Amino acid sequence: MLTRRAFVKSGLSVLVLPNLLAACSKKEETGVVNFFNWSQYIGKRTLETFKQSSGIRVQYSLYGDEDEMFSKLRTGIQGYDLIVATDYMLPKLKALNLIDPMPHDRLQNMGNLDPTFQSPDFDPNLDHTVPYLWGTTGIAYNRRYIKKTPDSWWNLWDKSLSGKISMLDNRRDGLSCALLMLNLPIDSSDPRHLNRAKELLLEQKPVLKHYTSTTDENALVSQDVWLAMGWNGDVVRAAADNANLDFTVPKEGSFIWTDFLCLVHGSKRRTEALLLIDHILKADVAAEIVNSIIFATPNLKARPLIAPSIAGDDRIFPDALTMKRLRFYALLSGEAEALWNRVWQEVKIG
Amino acid sequence: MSMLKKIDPALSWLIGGRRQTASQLLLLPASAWLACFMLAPIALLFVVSFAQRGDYGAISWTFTLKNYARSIDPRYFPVLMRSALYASTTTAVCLALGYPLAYFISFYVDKHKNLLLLLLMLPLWTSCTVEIYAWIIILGREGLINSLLTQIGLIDEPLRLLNRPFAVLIGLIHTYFPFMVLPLYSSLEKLPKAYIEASKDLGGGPWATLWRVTFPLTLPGVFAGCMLTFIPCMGDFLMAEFLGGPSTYLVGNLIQNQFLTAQDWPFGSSLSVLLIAVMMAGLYLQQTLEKKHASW
Repeated sequence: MLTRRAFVKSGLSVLVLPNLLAACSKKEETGVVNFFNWSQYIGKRTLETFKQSSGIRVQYSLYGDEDEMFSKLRTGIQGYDLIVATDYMLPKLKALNLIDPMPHDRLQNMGNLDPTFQSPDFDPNLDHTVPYLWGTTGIAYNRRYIKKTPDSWWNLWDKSLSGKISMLDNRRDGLSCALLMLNLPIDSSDPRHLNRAKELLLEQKPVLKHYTSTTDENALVSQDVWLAMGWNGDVVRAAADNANLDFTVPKEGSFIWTDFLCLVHGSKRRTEALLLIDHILKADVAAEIVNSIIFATPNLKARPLIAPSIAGDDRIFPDALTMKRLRFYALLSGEAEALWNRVWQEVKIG
Repeated sequence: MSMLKKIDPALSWLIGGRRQTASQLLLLPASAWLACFMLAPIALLFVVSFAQRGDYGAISWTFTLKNYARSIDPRYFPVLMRSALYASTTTAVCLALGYPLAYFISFYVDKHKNLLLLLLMLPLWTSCTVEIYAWIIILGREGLINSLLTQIGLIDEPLRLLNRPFAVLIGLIHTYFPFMVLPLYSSLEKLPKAYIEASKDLGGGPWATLWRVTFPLTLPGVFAGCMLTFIPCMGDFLMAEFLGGPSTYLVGNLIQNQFLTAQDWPFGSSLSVLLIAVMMAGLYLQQTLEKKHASW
């Protein structure tokens, strides 16, 4: 129950783990690149194979909370060359000039990507990014206690399960879900709409056990929580520790998020960072990442190399019918973003 | 050896007596440290607290009092009250548990005093994260307490202990307990034992001696312990974040969220400045009271 993940994900600090495997390898080291990524978000061998093919050692740092990553970059902590950031962070990162444009001509393997991911709202034409992995937000549940598959977000409001439900602690998932349930536009910047969403979320608070910054894996595995808003790959991975866990996308619909590789502004090791991106874009490397952490890849060429049990899992690669209920998160203007922040804050203090 | 001889006169000049230059030199490292790592950041907070939040959390340098107006918005009042309630409950429980312990170590322990003090400080050596996860394991649904109670048949359904105010209090008390006991212990140690004997000689029973001699004379320690517990409790956000639930949102969480999640540094700064001001007022009050007490 007490996994290393629990510590890393605690959000208390960013653990800087030198990549021991790479350090042990005998090949001559020709360079270094600093990569800042979500915890549990890379293949078991990715960095090692990069070192073998390029001679570049990756100094790998982890974060358990994206706001933490953003604050680190923002306060000017130097040295990161490459980061992973989720779609909704991109406008902020661009507005504060924390990431640099992506020179696509220096990446040979861009062609491997699925055209669906070539021009996201958050970064038209991928000017600043390369898509890394994607997934969905949905409901994680424990089949032992929840006999009927939860098919609606309203299940997370079920009073009879008071104290057994947890919710993601971010405005994007929380408010988008409430707007969806109320049939209101999910990119709304109308204070009345957001006020209704807030009321709905406040109604839910008494049944919640807690809010968590990432999927509530530990509490789900330990069965402290039976129903949780969470991210697909996390739940499927957690099911390895508790076979009762399952994941579903509610009928009201839900969201696809995409994580992107971005070049940190002012980084001195640009060539090394681009080589690492190109390495990750290779079909076999991308497939190895998916096989390790069970999240979906936008890398089309990698699909045939993914383990059939994962490639065929419609919780990870949703079928066409589910895809219809899924959409990308809305891009918010600076003003709307400030309003969403305030409203979410009011939910939390309420 | 010759090096030592050269240093020796300088050293004895430095620590030898009441030379003003020497005392200033001795104060220099600590003052520089405080100026760089305490005064400067607080000054920065103060400046930022009058700025505005621009798009996506950028700080725009236009003077405004809006952050302060928002900080004293009645909407946030319950959060402040909740924090004060948690901090004062923690302080009260720590005092109630800590005084007898300090008394015991000071009066009843002979040989193993240092060992007991060491044990008391042991929790401070562990990482806070480890402590929190330990509590999660102990209080969880399938945790230590619940499995024990279920096995001996006291309960059928696991109790809900985690993510409640109770768990937050346990975490706070556990973390801040040493900060209460150490000043209590040192003031009990300093207490001249002759006073207690005098009280007994004059016919004071154990209770009268405790209430009318020992306790009043250790009040400075009580004050110091309470302040050392209450102040960090007011700013704590980790316990509420990890052991608490949706209803245990504290002022520390509110401030932390402004800097990390909401990226509203000006608002977070004004909240911090206000919290610091309230704490300073409290400390000032404590000192005035203590002076008054000393002149009794």
